[in-house]
Amino acid sequence: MEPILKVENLNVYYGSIHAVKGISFEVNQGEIVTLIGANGAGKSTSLNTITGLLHSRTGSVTFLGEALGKVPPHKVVGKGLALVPEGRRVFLQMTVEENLEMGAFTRSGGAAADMEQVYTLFPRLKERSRQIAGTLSGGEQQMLAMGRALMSRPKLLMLDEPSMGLAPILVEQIFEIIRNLHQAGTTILLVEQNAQAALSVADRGYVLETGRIVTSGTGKELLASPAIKKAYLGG
Amino acid sequence: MEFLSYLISGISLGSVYAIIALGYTMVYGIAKMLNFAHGDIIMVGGYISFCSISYLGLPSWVAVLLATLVCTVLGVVIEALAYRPLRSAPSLAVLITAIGVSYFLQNSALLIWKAAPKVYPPVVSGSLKLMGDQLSIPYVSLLTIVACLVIMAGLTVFTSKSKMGKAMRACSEDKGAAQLMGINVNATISVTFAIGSALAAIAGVLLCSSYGTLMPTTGSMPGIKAFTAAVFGGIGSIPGAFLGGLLLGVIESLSKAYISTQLANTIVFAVLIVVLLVKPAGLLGKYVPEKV
Repeated sequence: MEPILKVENLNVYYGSIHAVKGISFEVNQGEIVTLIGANGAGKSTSLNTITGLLHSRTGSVTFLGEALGKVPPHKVVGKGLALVPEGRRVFLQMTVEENLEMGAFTRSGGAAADMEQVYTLFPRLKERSRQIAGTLSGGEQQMLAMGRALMSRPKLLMLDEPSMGLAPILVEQIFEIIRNLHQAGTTILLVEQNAQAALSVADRGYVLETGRIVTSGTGKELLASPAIKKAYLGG
Repeated sequence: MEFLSYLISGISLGSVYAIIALGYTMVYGIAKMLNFAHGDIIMVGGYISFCSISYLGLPSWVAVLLATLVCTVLGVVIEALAYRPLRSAPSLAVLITAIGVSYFLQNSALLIWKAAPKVYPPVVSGSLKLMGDQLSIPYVSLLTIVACLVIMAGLTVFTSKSKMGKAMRACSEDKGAAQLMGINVNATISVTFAIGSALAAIAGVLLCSSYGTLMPTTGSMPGIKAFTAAVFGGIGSIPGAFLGGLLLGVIESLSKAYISTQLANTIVFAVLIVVLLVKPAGLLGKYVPEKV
């Protein structure tokens, strides 16, 4: 079967800085795939390039058989590719409900049913639906960012550091939700610094170092690999 | 009685400032740029309506409609030609471009309509006499106040209820995240310029109707005052622009009446400085800290 997302030989520059150096990876239908690596390894850059917020100098991104290279960023979500960006980036001055509505911006109807689904998944958001997002805690904002992305009914959900800046108990909750989404059939591309947590939910993983993929394998293989243990999992 | 009449003329002046300031603040809020050519759109609106009434003999309401239409198109074209190519340029480059556009509009007006002031035929004349003729309120003042209230209410409903209005608020907070939602940021900015310029045209008609004259620099001072009003109320905030505009007009009018005509602007700006010292984001400016 064709992979749902195929990234080939991607090269991204910030001015003269070569941030992503020819990486290639793919995500298949129904999988959780994770990109792990330290700060500055090029993980977020890769995701932002896939959504068109950044441009690659060479290489290609193919989503559901269509090349995304020339597609402007606001057209990408309509094709079924949603990104929960690093730092959540919810609209702080809009209510929870308005944030979710924005997630369904490209859809012409049926958003009400999806909003109910999101509220079932995140009951905390329902309690706070009329509140301004800026008043939510960090964990709640992360839930809102994920709920907002789900409102577009994505065929592939990309999560950029969903555990960043959250207390350990919330990190567990977020990963529980990722597991649930996966069981419900959502295909997920997960970028994480928290390698332990990411690899334990992922079917497959790619390890990035300074813009290159240095190793890849199934989640279990990578968790067991001595080199990975040494570099990312504290021995 | 005298006080009441100064107060009403202040509210009317403030309403014009508020209508202009709404355009300033929306463009700032969404495109994050100070459109210093905004005041000159007022002047263009004035000339278009002037020509429609005086040269073409059209009825006032058609003239207003025509002025609004021309200014809306002009605003969108200016944005597309002058500002859009600079979207990722440093903000100083955009600011200087805006000043350039301002001069371009003023000098084009000078070329077309010459420097001599035109006598502007008011869109409404006469005044409302109250309390046995002791209090006389020009109809144009009343029209200005009503127009401002209607515009303010309309914009509030538009930004809080409509899909486009919500998209504007999303863009104003985070353009990248807005794009991830599928919002076309360029189109949203165009709509913002269209609305702002239409408001400027209406403000132009009301302003010229109450002053009775029109020249190529007519828009400069009200433009600057409206910008001040927007900062006063909290730039980027719609209710802020409304409140800032009204307060500015009232302070200006009362200062002129009771303190000194020459000092009126000094007092206005002194109040602005005091407000900004106490509330750096302006009266209704928002600051939402990031949660971790």
